[in-house]
Amino acid sequence: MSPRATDSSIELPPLLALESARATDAAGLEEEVLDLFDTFRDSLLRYVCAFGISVSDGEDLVQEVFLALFRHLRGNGGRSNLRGWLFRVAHNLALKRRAQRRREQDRFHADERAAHLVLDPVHNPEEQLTDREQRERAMAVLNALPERDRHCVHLRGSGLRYREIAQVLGISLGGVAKSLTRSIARLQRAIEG
Amino acid sequence: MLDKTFHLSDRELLLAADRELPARRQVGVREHLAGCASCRARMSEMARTLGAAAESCRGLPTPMPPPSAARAQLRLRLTELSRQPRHSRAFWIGSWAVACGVVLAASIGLGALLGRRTAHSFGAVDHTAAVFLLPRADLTPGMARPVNLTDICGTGGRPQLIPVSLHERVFESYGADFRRSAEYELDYLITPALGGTPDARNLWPQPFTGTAWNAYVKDELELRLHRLVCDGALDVGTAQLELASNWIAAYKRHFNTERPLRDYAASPLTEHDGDLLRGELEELGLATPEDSANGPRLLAMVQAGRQGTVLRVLSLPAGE
Repeated sequence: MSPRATDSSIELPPLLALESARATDAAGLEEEVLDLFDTFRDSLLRYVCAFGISVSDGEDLVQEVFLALFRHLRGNGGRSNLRGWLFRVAHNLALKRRAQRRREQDRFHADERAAHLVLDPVHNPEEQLTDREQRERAMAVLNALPERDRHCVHLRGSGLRYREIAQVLGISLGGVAKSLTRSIARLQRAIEG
Repeated sequence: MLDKTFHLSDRELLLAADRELPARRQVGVREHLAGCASCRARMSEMARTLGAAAESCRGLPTPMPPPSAARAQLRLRLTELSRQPRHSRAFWIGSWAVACGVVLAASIGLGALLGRRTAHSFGAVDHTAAVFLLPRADLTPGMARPVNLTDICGTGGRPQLIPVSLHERVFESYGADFRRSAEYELDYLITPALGGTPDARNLWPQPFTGTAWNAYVKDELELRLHRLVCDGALDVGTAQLELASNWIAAYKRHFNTERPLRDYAASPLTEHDGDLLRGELEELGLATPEDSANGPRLLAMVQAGRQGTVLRVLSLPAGE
């Protein structure tokens, strides 16, 4: 599903042939949405969890994404790039959910227990740097990147084209390239250094 | 034609890889790459780095929960959505309210599947079941162990099994017919997800059917309370107390409703959904119930199994 970069070239993620699939009745639409769920659930869940959202919250959020997709398609919404659409909706919902959770935590007790809960293990690069494994180092560097840069890498890893990433994040194509260039340089320094 | 003495920028190499450069430039870049080993090497090096980073992302979260329950839940909600008029705001609100609302979903079609079509409208109560809607305070006051958030908000516990003897004892104390045990969930008053213990004083036979306020609806409340506690929005002790005092009142309060949020006539879960759910149950090391075609019940079991709440009698052959 996700493209793997090979040694010789950068592989392009396949464009989804979704334009042709046009379910008209509700039952057909349900099946179509469930098929897309089967294809994208894992990568969407990973993506929203990278926002520091818990897995169970992430699962809810992914459900919301597909319910929104159903409404979108039922309302004859565009089908030209559903992969990009899914990630964009997931991105926006994740931002909203995270902000909501933070507000709730602030409003109620901001004691160390709650603080412990919001701490995503992924977001602790210093600790992870002590590990020798190259993969973990890459992960640590990744987590230390500015959020937008991290999202770019993640979305690319989820198989999105640069154009799609630009749409999800609401930035220009050049912005995506710049962000990835920056991230690659940092990752390489960390791995080689 | 590009000059070979100059090298392409990283940015240009990236864009070229996605064929996002203007057509003429794209041609020039391709020609340059054909003759420049250094740029080709740089291009593949960048691809490797990005690939490795992407690979790191792919490992998270750990563990990745299997999709079966989420898929079944999505199907139930899609079917529900199909039946509703378009642009219903109520659904949006409702669907957030039940965010993890497996269990509502679980009430779908149970009556029909068990051959007891719900003759009861919301609020109406079957007299044979009525006594068990709420547990008796003298028999089941609710018991919990001391817990902190780290204990209960982690990855979820292992499924627990209740000995048949305890199961029988609880039924006996309630004067319930153990031969009809499949119609009841031997439910924790205080869910183990919030520290409830498998103690006779914390268990009672709760009906699956015959009332709108059934075991699935309570599961829904339990998920909601667990969520609130782990979000830091509700104290564990308060949550335990709410369950122990009057769970129906607590449900009404938390979901801001006088009735359970849903009641369905038939389950839209397909055989494929059922297979996925049974597969996950197997992975959890849990036996599938006898009426394993009952999608909502399978879904409820998977959720309970993941949460580490008891897989109750369902996982033990009745009458053994």
